[in-house]
Amino acid sequence: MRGSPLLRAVLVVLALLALLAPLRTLTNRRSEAAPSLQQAAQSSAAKKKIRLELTSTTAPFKYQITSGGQPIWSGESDSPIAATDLELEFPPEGIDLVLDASWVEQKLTAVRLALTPQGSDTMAKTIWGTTNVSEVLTFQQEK
Amino acid sequence: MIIVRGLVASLLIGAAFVRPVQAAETLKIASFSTVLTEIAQRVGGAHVTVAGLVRPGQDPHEYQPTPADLEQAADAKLILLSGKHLEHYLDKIQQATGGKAESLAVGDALPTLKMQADPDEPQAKEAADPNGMIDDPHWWNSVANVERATVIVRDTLIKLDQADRTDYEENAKTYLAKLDALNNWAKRKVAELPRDKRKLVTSHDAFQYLARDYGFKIYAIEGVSTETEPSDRHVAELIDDIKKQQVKAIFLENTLNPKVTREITSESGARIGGSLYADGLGDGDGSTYEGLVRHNISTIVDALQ
Repeated sequence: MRGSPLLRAVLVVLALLALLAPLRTLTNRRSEAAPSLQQAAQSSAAKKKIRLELTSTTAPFKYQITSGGQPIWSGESDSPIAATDLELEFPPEGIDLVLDASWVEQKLTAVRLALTPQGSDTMAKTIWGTTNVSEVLTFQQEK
Repeated sequence: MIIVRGLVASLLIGAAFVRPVQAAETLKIASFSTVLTEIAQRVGGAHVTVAGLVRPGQDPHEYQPTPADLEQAADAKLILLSGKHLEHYLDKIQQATGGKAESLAVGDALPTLKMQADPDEPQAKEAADPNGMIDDPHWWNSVANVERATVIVRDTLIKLDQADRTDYEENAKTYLAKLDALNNWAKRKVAELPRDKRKLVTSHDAFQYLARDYGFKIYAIEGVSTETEPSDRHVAELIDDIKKQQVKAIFLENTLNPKVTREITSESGARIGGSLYADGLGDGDGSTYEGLVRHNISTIVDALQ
């Protein structure tokens, strides 16, 4: 290659500078995408209107339903059936509800928790106990 | 004369003390699993002497029996093995014991999940099916499996020592009640975490049984250790997976290259959720099985919330 050494040095520097921009894009690509994870992680499943119905073969009975570590419905019922409507996140993976119920009389009792998302079929689980029941119940909609 | 009388008296007193010791001779057990060591101690109680040859904190995948370990195994009446191809030194044990001791591979009697065989482990390659899959040996990460293992150990102790049957049954009942309470606690703790957030990214594919029991989906970081430098492509794929699955935290063992850890966490937005006991009992919280389960479940749930 002919030409002055100074000109050749300038050309090399220019070529290196031209490479800088694509290199920077390549190395920063993953970092720029990182915040989207945080945003996506926070966008939880949409809330759905859900009807919960508790049936106990022994009354009166006390009850508490917990979801995600928080009590969402509790009380005492003199009749064998108690029901409520509330809004809950119901992802395709399903939900776990913790059912705690107790009654004074020592008697083998069945407690049924029925869950009906608005516009969907009812799902129900039944558990048995002598003075109380305490269990995690999983509800998943059929795919 | 006085000296002779004294000697006779001493001998008689000595004999009185020797007799109960002979009567209380214990059943010798050699255990090659930290979890089985605990089960044998809890169920066997005072009737057994358990030599835990794989010690807490020791990696059972890497363990090799020492001559002293093999001597203890040869001296035992019962040898407890984890099973599911974990003990790649079985021939050494058989050689040492001459097949005299009762050998019980507890895991082999438990339901199996499959995992990809490590191509670098010749033993795993031999045991693999045509699709390269082997039995996942980490059965102890399911409390329900540990309950089943307790029943198996109880029945074997009764078979070997009928005289102490009642004690074994009573001890097993107490231990099983504790395991049942532990399992209920774990279910309630996991229920705090919405099911769509139950995504477990770990550096060691050891939690399939836990995942099955508590509704987690596993994303194992495979081929990433201090010994191997993962390719950029591998790390990039991993980061993409973590982003796609919206995983908030990943769980790593100390074998992971710290540089890779930093890259994965900084670029995926996930954070380190803490360390888990993957391969059995260890130091600290994991020195008992109950402590191990409480630590693992709490660490996972708290980090993913």
